[in-house]
Amino acid sequence: MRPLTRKLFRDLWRMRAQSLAVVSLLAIGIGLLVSSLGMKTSLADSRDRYYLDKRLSDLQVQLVRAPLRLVDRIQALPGVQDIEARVAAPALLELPGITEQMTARLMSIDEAEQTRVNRPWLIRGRWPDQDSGRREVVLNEAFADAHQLQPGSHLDATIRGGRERLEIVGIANSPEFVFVSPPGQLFPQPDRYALIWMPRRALEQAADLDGAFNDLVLRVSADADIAMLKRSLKDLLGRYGAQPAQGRDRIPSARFLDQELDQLATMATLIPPAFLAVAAFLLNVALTRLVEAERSNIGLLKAFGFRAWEVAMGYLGMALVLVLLGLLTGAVLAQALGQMMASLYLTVYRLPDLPFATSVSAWAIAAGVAALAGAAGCINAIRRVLRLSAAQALMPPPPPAFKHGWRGAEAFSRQFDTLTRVVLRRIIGFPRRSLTTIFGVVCALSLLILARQFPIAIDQLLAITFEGTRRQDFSLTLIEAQGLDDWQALKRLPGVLEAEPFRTVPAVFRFGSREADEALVGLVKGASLERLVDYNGVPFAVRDDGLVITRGLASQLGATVGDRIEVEITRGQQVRLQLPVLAVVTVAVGNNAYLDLDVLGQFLREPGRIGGVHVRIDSLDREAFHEAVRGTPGIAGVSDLARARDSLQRTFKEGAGVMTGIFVTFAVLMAVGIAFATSSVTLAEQRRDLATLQVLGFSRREVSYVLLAEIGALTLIALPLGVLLGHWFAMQFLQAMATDLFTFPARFESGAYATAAAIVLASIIAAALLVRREVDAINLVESLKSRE
Amino acid sequence: MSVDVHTKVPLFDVRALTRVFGHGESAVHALRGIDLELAEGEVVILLGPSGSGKSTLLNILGGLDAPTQGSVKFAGRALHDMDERELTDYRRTWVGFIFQFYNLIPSLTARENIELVTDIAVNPLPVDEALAMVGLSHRGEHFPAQLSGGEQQRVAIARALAKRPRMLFCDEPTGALDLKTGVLTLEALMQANHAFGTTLMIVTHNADIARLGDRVIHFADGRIREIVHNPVRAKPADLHW
Repeated sequence: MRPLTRKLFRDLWRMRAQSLAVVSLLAIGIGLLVSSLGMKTSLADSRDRYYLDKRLSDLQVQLVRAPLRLVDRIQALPGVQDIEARVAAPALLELPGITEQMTARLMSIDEAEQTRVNRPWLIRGRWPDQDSGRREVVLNEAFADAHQLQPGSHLDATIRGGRERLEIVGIANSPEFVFVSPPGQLFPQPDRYALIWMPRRALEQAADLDGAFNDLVLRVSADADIAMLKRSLKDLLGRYGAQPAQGRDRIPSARFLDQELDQLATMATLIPPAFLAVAAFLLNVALTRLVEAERSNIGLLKAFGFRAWEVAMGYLGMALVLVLLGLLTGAVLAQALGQMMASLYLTVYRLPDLPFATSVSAWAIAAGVAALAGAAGCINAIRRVLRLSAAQALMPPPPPAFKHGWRGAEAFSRQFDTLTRVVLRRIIGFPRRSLTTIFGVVCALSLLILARQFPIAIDQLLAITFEGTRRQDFSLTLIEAQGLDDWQALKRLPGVLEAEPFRTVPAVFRFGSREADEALVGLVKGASLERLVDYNGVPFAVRDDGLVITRGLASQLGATVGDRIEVEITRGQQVRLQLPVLAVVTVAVGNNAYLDLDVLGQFLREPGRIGGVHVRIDSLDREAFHEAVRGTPGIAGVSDLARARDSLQRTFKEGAGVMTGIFVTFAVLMAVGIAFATSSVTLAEQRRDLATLQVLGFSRREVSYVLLAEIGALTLIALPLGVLLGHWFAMQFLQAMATDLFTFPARFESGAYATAAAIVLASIIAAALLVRREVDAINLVESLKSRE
Repeated sequence: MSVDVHTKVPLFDVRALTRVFGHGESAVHALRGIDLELAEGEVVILLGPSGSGKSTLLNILGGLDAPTQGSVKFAGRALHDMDERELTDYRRTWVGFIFQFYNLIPSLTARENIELVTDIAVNPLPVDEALAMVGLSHRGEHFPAQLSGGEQQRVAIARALAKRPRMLFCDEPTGALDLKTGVLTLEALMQANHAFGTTLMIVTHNADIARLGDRVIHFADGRIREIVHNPVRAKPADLHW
């Protein structure tokens, strides 16, 4: 090994604390970057393979009832590749010991293995016998797991008012339901909503749809003209009560998965750079210090005839070694984080598999970014090495030249005692270094605030959604819109304290050339169980003279307040309206348009009809309520808001919790690293002055003050800046994480920010005190003898 | 002014003082049993080659270092038994130091460097008076980097004198200065001795400076080889080197 190489490794070992800090930060940044990027591609690949392999539909059409003989004509439409004309029906389920209502979607299957669109795949058991006299069914895995149901178990179901005893013969999953949420609900409720596949004949009978279908799913060819195909489908099927054909973006499962992928991309772009920037900062501090301490060695090497670049290579080599170590450690970390995230995703998303793999491009990006951080970290030191002439380097460094600063600063520092003036003059006299320290602390605090803001935003989103908007205990959805009598009956269900009718109809909204498939929701004026509330908790009233729409819908359409948009209601009576947008509301969850319930009824030419009821019940009458609901025909589904809240909370927190933990830990490490580096530099530079002060009769405490006050004062400047920047950063992050379904409430969380600031402060104090112990170890005689 | 050491209470009383650095085979015996008394107001010159132990003695007497064995008494108080806090008080109250490299705080002006000491001393000189004593009244607002070496050393002397110390330790005070500025520096020191009766201990390589002292203590190999009494102290202006 050449002597300069040996020196390189010895220097690294000597600075092992700083080297470790740099390597860890690089590793974290790279680990997060590569695992987020890798997870994104892994999840996307896994999803695409799944969709392709199991033939996820490109279009779907819901109908009232269409004869099966239409199948050939649909198949012949240009652009259609494959179709499945299914029978689908809602059902109410019963299991012993569970009083709450459970609902299911029943779907017909023919030869399961031959299913051409949305092919389910068996996990356990077998497919039902098409000709069996018994009601054999296959159940989805999530529901089966939630209730420990196995092939051989039984389920009681009410289909169209008729009770059936279903025998489970197999457990399966489908690409349509990677994420299982009840219709009209955004949140997974695997234990309250089941998917059941049943032989066609049996389901036709049970649903009273002999020789017919009501659920059409299609795969289209790559070159299909989707818009034309949609029109053809409408022309062909319109008179069978067909809804407009909808794309994959309207499959809740697919939509959710897409949004998850977007969020992963956001994570990968926003978070890791922060760690890499700090790694660069620490590397810069460490190497610049080293060059300063090694002036005479550098001079000696140059005097011996080493070329400037050969000497500089040593320092570049150190940066390179650290970057390589960071990359290697980051690779291990990325793999571990990736595996962890993958297994986490598999508990939420029912995918056949999710092998975590990192892509070459992710590594290229990571290596590039790490090299950039390394270069940024060593450029200052290298420049110094190159600039230092041998003769200059062999002489002790000139004393720092302080001059009188501008008058304001001078007058300000004169207000303090002499020791404080020493501190202030250093801060003002080395502005670049002071700013670097401030910048580092600001970064650490911002990251911590960001890490803490996200879970708070989730809590607030939940609070606004479930305490501000959806304040009912249960929401009952009717199979078909009902009139006054049924409304009266629902109000009189046992235990109901308060009830409010609503109606939700799917609609196509158009403005200019844009259109969006969303729901039009009718609410009663002055509603209290289901309110329209913006993401900061401010309620909005529904209007009878126009629409109130969500921000997501407004941006999909490019419409704003005052615009008149076209609303085509496609269920039942086909109605087309032009309505003004009266308000745009940024809601926390969901994407709809709102209108007064009575006005909606008039538009639909069904005044007084309701689509469902929100109720608040007396918890003592819970059992009776559920029993009564189960016995009430015409109820398609019951959603339990407390459960919805739990499940949403789980969905968010499982992912966010782990990430938050990682960020908090590393933000603290970062603060400690910065404080340690800054105090060490101060100590090294002032060792002689500190010794002089002790000789003059200042106590160790007073001398420590000079050492600690610098980092202390800089921290005090940095904390408020960090809070502001952290807040701004958090706002950007939350905005980037928002989707058309979710907007995270973003507020100035003074309490949380104060805690974050306190954590950073405590980390800095701990690191500074560690360095302070060195003051006790200063050898007065040694320090005074030498010039430096 | 010559002082007879045998007729006055000694300011320092040093007995069987040894100082060993390191241990085992690599141990360095810097002082090998020193006995010495210093009288109040005396000017003592320590002379000897590098590593002979003179600076080590100065450091121990100044409370910067502790002896391995033996005793040091300052005005009757045992220095060798003092803890960290007591030594700090001792340095703060009674003694001043002058070093070869001045040791001014670079971020404080000349005046502020003196204020450092006057802020914590019991009965300090006014800062202006201290500056005037070393002839630097007009340079008070300058930072060390804006002063010449001689001026910096004179600020260091003013800083040391500002607390009215009973004892002033000077380690190679003119080591980094030319003759002219060196003479100015030594004149400032001698004036302090004259005006306040401050006892001076000056460590030097320079045999000519030895003529300033009442006694010249020659060091060699950690021991006192010889003590020479000067009947008459020379004036700094008479020195040559």
